[in-house]
Amino acid sequence: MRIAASAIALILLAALIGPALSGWDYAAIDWNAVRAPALSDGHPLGTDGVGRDLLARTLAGTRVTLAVASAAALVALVIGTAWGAVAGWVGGRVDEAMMRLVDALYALPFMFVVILLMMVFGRSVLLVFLGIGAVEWLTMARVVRGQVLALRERPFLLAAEAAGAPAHMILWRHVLPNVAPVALAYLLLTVPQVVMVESFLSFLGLGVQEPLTSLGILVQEGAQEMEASPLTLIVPCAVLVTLIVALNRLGDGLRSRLA
Amino acid sequence: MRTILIRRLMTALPTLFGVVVLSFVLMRLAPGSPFDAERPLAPATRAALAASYGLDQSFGQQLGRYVAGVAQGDFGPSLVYRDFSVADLVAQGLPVSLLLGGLALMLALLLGIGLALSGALRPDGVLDRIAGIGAALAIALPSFVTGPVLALVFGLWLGLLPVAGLSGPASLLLPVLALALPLAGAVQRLARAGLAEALAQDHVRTARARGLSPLHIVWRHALAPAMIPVVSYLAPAAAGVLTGAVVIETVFGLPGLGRYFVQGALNRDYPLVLAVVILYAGLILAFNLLADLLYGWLDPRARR
Repeated sequence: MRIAASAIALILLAALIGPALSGWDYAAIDWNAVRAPALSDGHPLGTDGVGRDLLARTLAGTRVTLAVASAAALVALVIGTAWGAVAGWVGGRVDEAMMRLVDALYALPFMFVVILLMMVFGRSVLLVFLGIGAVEWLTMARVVRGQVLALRERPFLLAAEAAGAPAHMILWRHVLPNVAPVALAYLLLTVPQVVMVESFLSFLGLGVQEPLTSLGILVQEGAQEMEASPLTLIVPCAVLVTLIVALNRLGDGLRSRLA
Repeated sequence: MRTILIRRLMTALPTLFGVVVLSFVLMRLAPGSPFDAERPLAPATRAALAASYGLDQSFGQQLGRYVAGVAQGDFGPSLVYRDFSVADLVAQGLPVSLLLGGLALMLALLLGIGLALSGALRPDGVLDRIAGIGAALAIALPSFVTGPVLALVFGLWLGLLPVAGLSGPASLLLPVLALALPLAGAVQRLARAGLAEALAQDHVRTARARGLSPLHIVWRHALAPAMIPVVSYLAPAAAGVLTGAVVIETVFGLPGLGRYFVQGALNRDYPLVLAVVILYAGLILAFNLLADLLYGWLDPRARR
Protein backbone atom coordinates (compact mmCIF):
# COMPACT_ATOMS: atom_id res chain seq x y z
CA MET A 1 0.00 0.00 0.00
CA ARG A 2 2.86 2.35 0.80
CA ILE A 3 4.53 1.57 -2.52
CA ALA A 4 1.24 2.15 -4.31
CA ALA A 5 0.72 5.49 -2.56
CA SER A 6 4.25 6.65 -3.40
CA ALA A 7 3.85 5.61 -7.03
CA ILE A 8 0.62 7.61 -7.27
CA ALA A 9 2.21 10.61 -5.56
CA LEU A 10 5.15 10.45 -7.95
CA ILE A 11 2.93 10.29 -11.03
CA LEU A 12 0.74 13.12 -9.69
CA LEU A 13 3.77 15.30 -9.00
CA ALA A 14 5.28 14.58 -12.40
CA ALA A 15 1.99 15.36 -14.13
CA LEU A 16 1.58 18.60 -12.18
CA ILE A 17 5.03 20.16 -12.39
CA GLY A 18 6.68 18.00 -15.06
CA PRO A 19 5.39 19.84 -18.13
CA ALA A 20 6.87 23.10 -16.79
CA LEU A 21 10.29 21.51 -16.22
CA SER A 22 10.72 19.39 -19.34
CA GLY A 23 11.58 22.33 -21.62
CA TRP A 24 9.66 20.94 -24.61
CA ASP A 25 6.08 21.77 -25.45
CA TYR A 26 4.03 18.60 -25.86
CA ALA A 27 2.66 19.74 -29.21
CA ALA A 28 5.78 21.42 -30.59
CA ILE A 29 7.49 19.70 -33.48
CA ASP A 30 11.27 19.38 -33.54
CA TRP A 31 11.94 19.04 -37.27
CA ASN A 32 15.57 18.10 -36.67
CA ALA A 33 14.72 15.11 -34.52
CA VAL A 34 11.88 13.07 -35.99
CA ARG A 35 11.75 9.58 -34.44
CA ALA A 36 14.83 10.40 -32.38
CA PRO A 37 15.99 7.58 -30.10
CA ALA A 38 16.08 8.10 -26.33
CA LEU A 39 18.69 10.44 -24.86
CA SER A 40 19.40 12.27 -28.09
CA ASP A 41 19.24 15.99 -28.95
CA GLY A 42 17.97 16.84 -25.49
CA HIS A 43 14.97 14.48 -25.76
CA PRO A 44 15.26 12.17 -22.72
CA LEU A 45 12.84 9.59 -24.16
CA GLY A 46 13.24 10.49 -27.80
CA THR A 47 10.50 11.80 -30.07
CA ASP A 48 7.47 10.38 -31.86
CA GLY A 49 6.76 9.99 -35.58
CA VAL A 50 6.39 13.72 -36.16
CA GLY A 51 9.18 14.86 -33.88
CA ARG A 52 7.30 15.72 -30.69
CA ASP A 53 9.09 15.13 -27.38
CA LEU A 54 7.84 11.85 -25.91
CA LEU A 55 8.51 12.77 -22.27
CA ALA A 56 6.64 16.06 -22.59
CA ARG A 57 3.75 14.29 -24.35
CA THR A 58 3.54 11.57 -21.74
CA LEU A 59 3.50 14.14 -18.91
CA ALA A 60 0.84 16.22 -20.63
CA GLY A 61 -1.23 13.13 -21.45
CA THR A 62 -1.02 11.87 -17.87
CA ARG A 63 -2.20 15.26 -16.68
CA VAL A 64 -5.26 15.23 -18.95
CA THR A 65 -6.09 11.62 -18.10
CA LEU A 66 -5.85 12.34 -14.37
CA ALA A 67 -7.92 15.50 -14.68
CA VAL A 68 -10.68 13.76 -16.62
CA ALA A 69 -10.57 10.79 -14.24
CA SER A 70 -10.87 12.84 -11.07
CA ALA A 71 -13.65 15.01 -12.48
CA ALA A 72 -15.59 11.95 -13.66
CA ALA A 73 -15.06 10.17 -10.35
CA LEU A 74 -16.45 13.23 -8.56
CA VAL A 75 -19.53 13.22 -10.79
CA ALA A 76 -19.97 9.52 -10.00
CA LEU A 77 -19.51 10.24 -6.28
CA VAL A 78 -22.17 12.95 -6.22
CA ILE A 79 -24.79 11.05 -8.24
CA GLY A 80 -24.07 7.72 -6.56
CA THR A 81 -24.12 9.07 -3.01
CA ALA A 82 -27.31 11.05 -3.54
CA TRP A 83 -29.06 8.14 -5.26
CA GLY A 84 -27.94 5.54 -2.73
CA ALA A 85 -28.65 7.72 0.30
CA VAL A 86 -32.18 8.57 -0.82
CA ALA A 87 -32.97 4.95 -1.76
CA GLY A 88 -31.61 3.60 1.51
CA TRP A 89 -33.26 6.28 3.63
CA VAL A 90 -36.74 6.39 2.09
CA GLY A 91 -36.86 2.62 1.68
CA GLY A 92 -39.91 0.61 0.64
CA ARG A 93 -41.30 0.98 -2.86
CA VAL A 94 -39.06 3.94 -3.73
CA ASP A 95 -35.96 1.98 -2.73
CA GLU A 96 -37.17 -0.99 -4.76
CA ALA A 97 -37.79 1.12 -7.87
CA MET A 98 -34.52 3.05 -7.59
CA MET A 99 -32.40 -0.06 -7.14
CA ARG A 100 -34.26 -1.86 -9.95
CA LEU A 101 -33.16 0.93 -12.25
CA VAL A 102 -29.57 0.49 -11.07
CA ASP A 103 -29.81 -3.26 -11.76
CA ALA A 104 -31.23 -2.62 -15.22
CA LEU A 105 -28.45 -0.15 -16.02
CA TYR A 106 -25.87 -2.64 -14.75
CA ALA A 107 -27.09 -5.14 -17.31
CA LEU A 108 -26.45 -2.72 -20.17
CA PRO A 109 -23.22 -2.67 -22.13
CA PHE A 110 -22.29 0.64 -20.54
CA MET A 111 -19.27 1.29 -22.71
CA PHE A 112 -21.60 1.41 -25.68
CA VAL A 113 -23.88 3.80 -23.88
CA VAL A 114 -20.92 6.13 -23.30
CA ILE A 115 -19.93 5.87 -26.94
CA LEU A 116 -23.53 6.60 -27.90
CA LEU A 117 -23.46 9.69 -25.68
CA MET A 118 -20.12 10.80 -27.16
CA MET A 119 -21.46 10.39 -30.65
CA VAL A 120 -24.74 12.16 -29.97
CA PHE A 121 -23.46 15.15 -28.05
CA GLY A 122 -20.17 15.64 -29.80
CA ARG A 123 -16.70 14.81 -28.59
CA SER A 124 -15.49 17.25 -25.99
CA VAL A 125 -13.47 16.75 -22.84
CA LEU A 126 -16.31 18.08 -20.71
CA LEU A 127 -18.69 15.48 -22.10
CA VAL A 128 -16.14 12.73 -21.80
CA PHE A 129 -16.09 13.06 -18.05
CA LEU A 130 -19.76 13.85 -17.64
CA GLY A 131 -20.60 10.80 -19.72
CA ILE A 132 -18.24 8.51 -17.85
CA GLY A 133 -19.35 9.85 -14.48
CA ALA A 134 -22.96 9.29 -15.45
CA VAL A 135 -22.39 5.56 -15.92
CA GLU A 136 -19.82 4.92 -13.20
CA TRP A 137 -22.07 5.90 -10.29
CA LEU A 138 -23.90 2.58 -10.10
CA THR A 139 -21.51 0.77 -7.77
CA MET A 140 -21.28 3.86 -5.60
CA ALA A 141 -25.08 3.97 -5.28
CA ARG A 142 -25.18 0.32 -4.18
CA VAL A 143 -22.42 0.76 -1.62
CA VAL A 144 -23.90 3.92 -0.14
CA ARG A 145 -27.38 2.40 0.03
CA GLY A 146 -26.00 -0.58 1.95
CA GLN A 147 -24.25 1.74 4.37
CA VAL A 148 -27.38 3.82 4.89
CA LEU A 149 -29.50 0.73 5.51
CA ALA A 150 -27.04 -0.39 8.18
CA LEU A 151 -26.99 3.10 9.71
CA ARG A 152 -30.78 3.36 9.88
CA GLU A 153 -30.90 0.86 12.73
CA ARG A 154 -28.41 2.77 14.88
CA PRO A 155 -29.80 4.40 18.04
CA PHE A 156 -28.51 7.92 17.33
CA LEU A 157 -30.51 8.03 14.12
CA LEU A 158 -33.63 6.78 15.88
CA ALA A 159 -33.05 9.50 18.44
CA ALA A 160 -32.68 12.17 15.77
CA GLU A 161 -35.87 11.00 14.13
CA ALA A 162 -37.72 10.88 17.45
CA ALA A 163 -36.54 14.43 18.16
CA GLY A 164 -38.37 15.47 14.99
CA ALA A 165 -35.35 16.46 12.89
CA PRO A 166 -36.33 16.90 9.21
CA ALA A 167 -35.13 14.21 6.81
CA HIS A 168 -32.74 16.41 4.83
CA MET A 169 -31.12 17.51 8.09
CA ILE A 170 -30.69 13.92 9.27
CA LEU A 171 -29.23 12.89 5.93
CA TRP A 172 -26.81 15.83 5.86
CA ARG A 173 -25.73 15.92 9.51
CA HIS A 174 -25.90 12.30 10.59
CA VAL A 175 -25.92 9.96 7.63
CA LEU A 176 -23.49 11.61 5.24
CA PRO A 177 -20.53 11.97 7.64
CA ASN A 178 -20.84 8.27 8.50
CA VAL A 179 -21.06 7.17 4.89
CA ALA A 180 -18.21 9.41 3.76
CA PRO A 181 -15.17 7.22 4.62
CA VAL A 182 -16.45 4.16 2.77
CA ALA A 183 -17.66 6.30 -0.13
CA LEU A 184 -14.19 7.86 -0.37
CA ALA A 185 -12.51 4.45 -0.45
CA TYR A 186 -14.80 3.49 -3.34
CA LEU A 187 -14.07 6.81 -4.96
CA LEU A 188 -10.44 5.76 -5.06
CA LEU A 189 -11.49 2.48 -6.73
CA THR A 190 -13.65 4.39 -9.21
CA VAL A 191 -10.69 6.44 -10.43
CA PRO A 192 -8.83 3.53 -12.10
CA GLN A 193 -12.10 2.42 -13.69
CA VAL A 194 -12.56 5.88 -15.12
CA VAL A 195 -8.93 6.02 -16.26
CA MET A 196 -9.57 2.82 -18.20
CA VAL A 197 -12.79 4.10 -19.76
CA GLU A 198 -11.24 7.43 -20.71
CA SER A 199 -8.18 5.78 -22.27
CA PHE A 200 -10.43 3.30 -24.05
CA LEU A 201 -12.51 6.08 -25.61
CA SER A 202 -9.49 8.21 -26.48
CA PHE A 203 -7.77 5.17 -27.97
CA LEU A 204 -10.70 4.73 -30.35
CA GLY A 205 -10.70 8.45 -31.20
CA LEU A 206 -13.99 9.01 -29.40
CA GLY A 207 -12.69 10.66 -26.24
CA VAL A 208 -10.20 13.47 -25.74
CA GLN A 209 -9.46 15.17 -29.06
CA GLU A 210 -6.29 16.63 -30.55
CA PRO A 211 -4.54 18.97 -29.93
CA LEU A 212 -5.15 17.83 -26.34
CA THR A 213 -3.56 14.52 -25.60
CA SER A 214 -4.19 11.75 -23.08
CA LEU A 215 -2.66 8.39 -22.21
CA GLY A 216 -5.21 6.62 -24.42
CA ILE A 217 -4.29 8.76 -27.43
CA LEU A 218 -0.59 8.19 -26.74
CA VAL A 219 -1.07 4.40 -26.62
CA GLN A 220 -2.93 4.58 -29.89
CA GLU A 221 -0.21 6.70 -31.52
CA GLY A 222 2.40 4.37 -30.08
CA ALA A 223 0.62 1.37 -31.60
CA GLN A 224 0.93 3.06 -35.01
CA GLU A 225 4.60 3.88 -34.47
CA MET A 226 5.77 0.79 -32.63
CA GLU A 227 7.71 -0.66 -35.52
CA ALA A 228 9.95 2.40 -35.88
CA SER A 229 10.11 3.54 -32.26
CA PRO A 230 8.84 1.00 -29.69
CA LEU A 231 9.33 3.50 -26.84
CA THR A 232 6.34 5.55 -28.02
CA LEU A 233 4.17 2.52 -27.19
CA ILE A 234 6.00 1.24 -24.13
CA VAL A 235 6.25 4.50 -22.16
CA PRO A 236 2.55 5.49 -22.10
CA CYS A 237 1.55 1.84 -21.55
CA ALA A 238 3.88 1.60 -18.56
CA VAL A 239 2.54 4.82 -17.01
CA LEU A 240 -1.06 3.74 -17.57
CA VAL A 241 -0.59 0.27 -16.08
CA THR A 242 1.37 1.57 -13.09
CA LEU A 243 -1.35 4.12 -12.43
CA ILE A 244 -4.18 1.56 -12.63
CA VAL A 245 -2.42 -1.09 -10.53
CA ALA A 246 -1.36 1.42 -7.85
CA LEU A 247 -4.82 3.01 -7.60
CA ASN A 248 -6.45 -0.42 -7.30
CA ARG A 249 -4.01 -1.45 -4.58
CA LEU A 250 -4.51 1.73 -2.59
CA GLY A 251 -8.30 1.59 -2.92
CA ASP A 252 -8.42 -2.08 -1.90
CA GLY A 253 -6.15 -1.39 1.06
CA LEU A 254 -8.23 1.54 2.28
CA ARG A 255 -11.48 -0.37 1.86
CA SER A 256 -10.33 -3.38 3.86
CA ARG A 257 -8.96 -1.07 6.53
CA LEU A 258 -12.31 0.74 6.82
CA ALA A 259 -14.59 -2.28 6.55
CA MET B 1 -37.14 -24.17 -13.98
CA ARG B 2 -39.55 -23.26 -16.75
CA THR B 3 -41.26 -20.61 -14.64
CA ILE B 4 -37.90 -19.02 -13.84
CA LEU B 5 -37.10 -18.89 -17.53
CA ILE B 6 -40.44 -17.33 -18.39
CA ARG B 7 -40.19 -14.82 -15.57
CA ARG B 8 -36.69 -13.79 -16.70
CA LEU B 9 -37.84 -13.40 -20.27
CA MET B 10 -40.66 -11.18 -19.03
CA THR B 11 -38.09 -8.73 -17.66
CA ALA B 12 -35.48 -9.21 -20.41
CA LEU B 13 -37.78 -8.38 -23.31
CA PRO B 14 -39.02 -5.03 -21.91
CA THR B 15 -35.40 -4.13 -21.10
CA LEU B 16 -34.45 -4.81 -24.70
CA PHE B 17 -37.42 -2.77 -25.90
CA GLY B 18 -36.31 0.04 -23.57
CA VAL B 19 -32.81 -0.07 -25.06
CA VAL B 20 -34.24 0.17 -28.57
CA VAL B 21 -36.45 3.15 -27.73
CA LEU B 22 -33.85 4.93 -25.60
CA SER B 23 -31.04 4.68 -28.12
CA PHE B 24 -33.39 5.76 -30.89
CA VAL B 25 -34.42 8.84 -28.91
CA LEU B 26 -30.78 9.67 -28.10
CA MET B 27 -29.84 9.32 -31.72
CA ARG B 28 -32.56 11.72 -32.83
CA LEU B 29 -31.42 14.28 -30.25
CA ALA B 30 -28.03 14.41 -31.90
CA PRO B 31 -26.98 17.64 -33.54
CA GLY B 32 -25.53 17.38 -37.02
CA SER B 33 -26.56 15.04 -39.76
CA PRO B 34 -24.87 12.26 -41.76
CA PHE B 35 -25.33 14.42 -44.84
CA ASP B 36 -23.09 17.17 -43.46
CA ALA B 37 -20.24 17.29 -45.93
CA GLU B 38 -17.41 19.66 -46.73
CA ARG B 39 -19.51 21.20 -49.48
CA PRO B 40 -23.03 22.16 -48.37
CA LEU B 41 -25.78 20.34 -50.28
CA ALA B 42 -28.44 22.23 -52.18
CA PRO B 43 -31.63 22.46 -50.06
CA ALA B 44 -33.61 20.46 -52.63
CA THR B 45 -31.03 17.64 -52.62
CA ARG B 46 -31.04 17.65 -48.86
CA ALA B 47 -34.81 17.41 -48.69
CA ALA B 48 -34.83 14.60 -51.23
CA LEU B 49 -32.21 12.68 -49.24
CA ALA B 50 -34.13 13.17 -45.99
CA ALA B 51 -37.34 12.01 -47.67
CA SER B 52 -35.75 8.91 -49.16
CA TYR B 53 -34.46 7.89 -45.72
CA GLY B 54 -37.76 8.76 -44.05
CA LEU B 55 -36.17 11.53 -41.96
CA ASP B 56 -38.96 14.00 -42.80
CA GLN B 57 -41.63 12.07 -40.94
CA SER B 58 -42.78 12.85 -37.41
CA PHE B 59 -40.75 11.46 -34.54
CA GLY B 60 -43.45 8.99 -33.52
CA GLN B 61 -43.78 7.65 -37.05
CA GLN B 62 -40.03 7.17 -37.35
CA LEU B 63 -39.85 5.35 -34.02
CA GLY B 64 -42.79 3.09 -34.88
CA ARG B 65 -41.34 2.24 -38.26
CA TYR B 66 -37.93 1.55 -36.73
CA VAL B 67 -39.23 -0.75 -33.97
CA ALA B 68 -41.38 -2.65 -36.47
CA GLY B 69 -38.35 -3.05 -38.72
CA VAL B 70 -36.06 -4.23 -35.90
CA ALA B 71 -38.63 -6.85 -34.89
CA GLN B 72 -38.28 -8.27 -38.41
CA GLY B 73 -34.48 -8.05 -38.46
CA ASP B 74 -34.45 -4.98 -40.67
CA PHE B 75 -32.24 -2.23 -39.28
CA GLY B 76 -32.58 0.09 -42.25
CA PRO B 77 -29.97 1.25 -44.73
CA SER B 78 -26.52 2.36 -43.67
CA LEU B 79 -26.21 6.10 -44.04
CA VAL B 80 -22.49 6.04 -44.80
CA TYR B 81 -21.79 2.75 -46.58
CA ARG B 82 -24.14 3.42 -49.49
CA ASP B 83 -25.63 0.37 -51.19
CA PHE B 84 -25.35 -1.66 -47.99
CA SER B 85 -28.14 -2.26 -45.53
CA VAL B 86 -27.17 -2.36 -41.88
CA ALA B 87 -28.28 -5.99 -41.80
CA ASP B 88 -25.73 -6.75 -44.55
CA LEU B 89 -22.92 -5.11 -42.59
CA VAL B 90 -23.94 -6.93 -39.42
CA ALA B 91 -24.07 -10.23 -41.30
CA GLN B 92 -20.51 -9.60 -42.51
CA GLY B 93 -19.08 -8.56 -39.17
CA LEU B 94 -20.95 -10.69 -36.68
CA PRO B 95 -19.40 -14.10 -37.54
CA VAL B 96 -15.87 -12.73 -37.10
CA SER B 97 -16.80 -11.11 -33.79
CA LEU B 98 -18.61 -14.20 -32.53
CA LEU B 99 -15.65 -16.42 -33.40
CA LEU B 100 -13.20 -14.04 -31.71
CA GLY B 101 -15.40 -13.53 -28.64
CA GLY B 102 -16.37 -17.18 -28.32
CA LEU B 103 -12.77 -18.38 -28.49
CA ALA B 104 -11.67 -15.71 -26.01
CA LEU B 105 -14.42 -16.61 -23.56
CA MET B 106 -13.55 -20.31 -23.78
CA LEU B 107 -9.83 -19.65 -23.36
CA ALA B 108 -10.53 -17.39 -20.37
CA LEU B 109 -12.70 -20.04 -18.68
CA LEU B 110 -10.22 -22.86 -19.37
CA LEU B 111 -7.21 -20.85 -18.23
CA GLY B 112 -8.92 -19.29 -15.21
CA ILE B 113 -10.61 -22.44 -13.91
CA GLY B 114 -7.58 -24.59 -14.68
CA LEU B 115 -5.23 -22.34 -12.72
CA ALA B 116 -7.72 -22.07 -9.87
CA LEU B 117 -8.05 -25.85 -9.70
CA SER B 118 -4.32 -26.49 -9.65
CA GLY B 119 -3.99 -23.75 -7.03
CA ALA B 120 -6.70 -25.30 -4.86
CA LEU B 121 -5.05 -28.73 -5.05
CA ARG B 122 -1.78 -27.26 -3.80
CA PRO B 123 -2.65 -24.09 -1.85
CA ASP B 124 0.16 -21.53 -1.57
CA GLY B 125 2.32 -23.59 -3.93
CA VAL B 126 4.48 -21.91 -6.54
CA LEU B 127 1.85 -22.21 -9.24
CA ASP B 128 -0.88 -20.85 -6.97
CA ARG B 129 1.18 -17.77 -6.13
CA ILE B 130 2.20 -17.09 -9.71
CA ALA B 131 -1.43 -17.48 -10.79
CA GLY B 132 -2.54 -15.03 -8.10
CA ILE B 133 -0.05 -12.35 -9.12
CA GLY B 134 -0.72 -13.00 -12.80
CA ALA B 135 -4.46 -12.63 -12.26
CA ALA B 136 -4.06 -9.30 -10.44
CA LEU B 137 -1.89 -8.01 -13.27
CA ALA B 138 -4.13 -9.36 -16.03
CA ILE B 139 -7.18 -7.66 -14.53
CA ALA B 140 -5.38 -4.31 -14.39
CA LEU B 141 -4.15 -4.50 -17.99
CA PRO B 142 -6.67 -3.01 -20.40
CA SER B 143 -7.00 -4.78 -23.74
CA PHE B 144 -5.85 -1.70 -25.65
CA VAL B 145 -2.51 -2.08 -23.85
CA THR B 146 -2.12 -5.87 -24.07
CA GLY B 147 -3.13 -5.92 -27.74
CA PRO B 148 -0.43 -3.60 -29.12
CA VAL B 149 2.21 -4.89 -26.68
CA LEU B 150 1.56 -8.52 -27.68
CA ALA B 151 1.70 -7.48 -31.33
CA LEU B 152 4.99 -5.68 -30.68
CA VAL B 153 6.65 -8.59 -28.87
CA PHE B 154 5.36 -11.63 -30.76
CA GLY B 155 4.71 -10.01 -34.12
CA LEU B 156 7.51 -7.51 -34.66
CA TRP B 157 10.31 -8.49 -32.30
CA LEU B 158 10.04 -12.28 -32.37
CA GLY B 159 8.36 -12.39 -35.76
CA LEU B 160 6.35 -15.46 -34.77
CA LEU B 161 2.79 -14.41 -35.52
CA PRO B 162 0.96 -12.13 -37.93
CA VAL B 163 -0.03 -8.78 -36.40
CA ALA B 164 -2.90 -7.71 -38.63
CA GLY B 165 -5.61 -9.03 -40.87
CA LEU B 166 -7.50 -12.30 -40.93
CA SER B 167 -5.51 -15.06 -42.59
CA GLY B 168 -5.82 -18.47 -41.06
CA PRO B 169 -5.94 -19.63 -37.45
CA ALA B 170 -2.53 -18.20 -36.50
CA SER B 171 -3.77 -14.67 -37.07
CA LEU B 172 -6.46 -15.18 -34.43
CA LEU B 173 -4.03 -16.30 -31.74
CA LEU B 174 -2.86 -12.88 -30.52
CA PRO B 175 -6.29 -11.18 -30.64
CA VAL B 176 -7.91 -14.05 -28.73
CA LEU B 177 -5.13 -14.03 -26.14
CA ALA B 178 -5.31 -10.25 -25.66
CA LEU B 179 -9.07 -10.44 -25.29
CA ALA B 180 -9.02 -13.42 -22.93
CA LEU B 181 -6.32 -12.27 -20.49
CA PRO B 182 -8.30 -9.84 -18.28
CA LEU B 183 -11.26 -12.24 -18.16
CA ALA B 184 -9.01 -15.18 -17.31
CA GLY B 185 -7.65 -13.16 -14.40
CA ALA B 186 -11.13 -12.41 -13.08
CA VAL B 187 -12.27 -16.02 -13.54
CA GLN B 188 -9.18 -17.33 -11.74
CA ARG B 189 -9.88 -15.06 -8.76
CA LEU B 190 -13.55 -15.98 -8.51
CA ALA B 191 -12.99 -19.71 -9.01
CA ARG B 192 -10.07 -19.80 -6.57
CA ALA B 193 -12.07 -18.02 -3.85
CA GLY B 194 -15.09 -20.25 -4.55
CA LEU B 195 -12.97 -23.39 -4.30
CA ALA B 196 -11.36 -22.24 -1.06
CA GLU B 197 -14.79 -21.71 0.45
CA ALA B 198 -16.21 -24.99 -0.87
CA LEU B 199 -13.20 -26.96 0.41
CA ALA B 200 -13.71 -25.58 3.91
CA GLN B 201 -17.20 -27.17 4.18
CA ASP B 202 -18.00 -29.98 6.59
CA HIS B 203 -18.89 -32.51 3.91
CA VAL B 204 -15.50 -32.01 2.31
CA ARG B 205 -13.82 -32.68 5.65
CA THR B 206 -15.86 -35.87 5.91
CA ALA B 207 -14.86 -36.88 2.40
CA ARG B 208 -11.23 -36.29 3.32
CA ALA B 209 -11.65 -38.39 6.48
CA ARG B 210 -13.02 -41.20 4.30
CA GLY B 211 -9.66 -41.19 2.54
CA LEU B 212 -10.82 -39.99 -0.88
CA SER B 213 -8.14 -38.60 -3.13
CA PRO B 214 -7.85 -34.77 -3.26
CA LEU B 215 -8.56 -34.79 -6.99
CA HIS B 216 -11.76 -36.79 -6.47
CA ILE B 217 -12.87 -34.48 -3.64
CA VAL B 218 -12.37 -31.35 -5.71
CA TRP B 219 -14.02 -32.84 -8.79
CA ARG B 220 -17.00 -34.43 -7.06
CA HIS B 221 -17.71 -32.21 -4.06
CA ALA B 222 -16.18 -28.77 -4.48
CA LEU B 223 -16.24 -27.90 -8.16
CA ALA B 224 -19.97 -27.38 -8.70
CA PRO B 225 -20.59 -25.01 -5.77
CA ALA B 226 -17.33 -23.19 -6.49
CA MET B 227 -18.49 -22.44 -10.03
CA ILE B 228 -21.47 -20.34 -8.88
CA PRO B 229 -19.54 -17.05 -8.60
CA VAL B 230 -17.94 -17.79 -11.98
CA VAL B 231 -21.37 -18.30 -13.53
CA SER B 232 -22.69 -15.05 -12.12
CA TYR B 233 -19.67 -13.39 -13.72
CA LEU B 234 -20.69 -14.72 -17.15
CA ALA B 235 -22.86 -11.76 -18.15
CA PRO B 236 -20.29 -9.09 -17.18
CA ALA B 237 -17.67 -11.24 -18.91
CA ALA B 238 -19.73 -11.26 -22.09
CA ALA B 239 -19.99 -7.48 -21.87
CA GLY B 240 -16.21 -7.35 -21.35
CA VAL B 241 -15.58 -9.52 -24.40
CA LEU B 242 -17.82 -7.31 -26.54
CA THR B 243 -16.22 -4.04 -25.44
CA GLY B 244 -12.74 -5.55 -25.62
CA ALA B 245 -13.45 -6.86 -29.10
CA VAL B 246 -14.11 -3.32 -30.29
CA VAL B 247 -10.52 -2.40 -29.43
CA ILE B 248 -8.93 -5.68 -30.42
CA GLU B 249 -10.56 -5.69 -33.84
CA THR B 250 -9.27 -2.17 -34.41
CA VAL B 251 -5.75 -3.02 -33.22
CA PHE B 252 -5.41 -6.23 -35.23
CA GLY B 253 -7.38 -5.05 -38.25
CA LEU B 254 -10.04 -7.76 -38.07
CA PRO B 255 -13.24 -7.15 -40.06
CA GLY B 256 -15.61 -7.65 -37.13
CA LEU B 257 -18.68 -5.89 -35.82
CA GLY B 258 -16.69 -3.80 -33.34
CA ARG B 259 -14.83 -2.05 -36.12
CA TYR B 260 -18.04 -1.18 -37.90
CA PHE B 261 -19.30 0.15 -34.58
CA VAL B 262 -16.32 2.48 -34.10
CA GLN B 263 -16.40 3.59 -37.71
CA GLY B 264 -20.14 4.16 -37.43
CA ALA B 265 -19.74 6.20 -34.25
CA LEU B 266 -17.04 8.34 -35.87
CA ASN B 267 -19.13 8.81 -39.04
CA ARG B 268 -22.47 9.39 -37.29
CA ASP B 269 -23.93 6.38 -39.08
CA TYR B 270 -26.98 6.23 -36.78
CA PRO B 271 -28.68 3.05 -38.03
CA LEU B 272 -25.46 1.07 -37.90
CA VAL B 273 -24.57 2.15 -34.35
CA LEU B 274 -28.13 1.60 -33.16
CA ALA B 275 -28.14 -1.91 -34.60
CA VAL B 276 -24.88 -2.83 -32.91
CA VAL B 277 -25.99 -1.44 -29.54
CA ILE B 278 -29.28 -3.34 -29.74
CA LEU B 279 -27.51 -6.52 -30.80
CA TYR B 280 -24.99 -6.24 -27.97
CA ALA B 281 -27.69 -5.53 -25.41
CA GLY B 282 -29.55 -8.60 -26.66
CA LEU B 283 -26.42 -10.75 -26.40
CA ILE B 284 -25.76 -9.59 -22.85
CA LEU B 285 -29.35 -10.26 -21.81
CA ALA B 286 -29.03 -13.73 -23.38
CA PHE B 287 -25.92 -14.37 -21.28
CA ASN B 288 -27.83 -13.25 -18.19
CA LEU B 289 -30.48 -15.87 -19.02
CA LEU B 290 -27.82 -18.51 -19.57
CA ALA B 291 -26.28 -17.67 -16.20
CA ASP B 292 -29.68 -18.10 -14.52
CA LEU B 293 -30.14 -21.51 -16.12
CA LEU B 294 -26.64 -22.67 -15.12
CA TYR B 295 -27.36 -21.45 -11.60
CA GLY B 296 -30.26 -23.85 -11.29
CA TRP B 297 -28.15 -26.67 -12.68
CA LEU B 298 -25.25 -26.07 -10.26
CA ASP B 299 -27.23 -25.22 -7.14
CA PRO B 300 -30.34 -27.34 -6.46
CA ARG B 301 -31.60 -24.70 -4.01
CA ALA B 302 -32.03 -22.20 -6.87
CA ARG B 303 -34.34 -24.54 -8.80
CA ARG B 304 -37.48 -23.60 -6.89
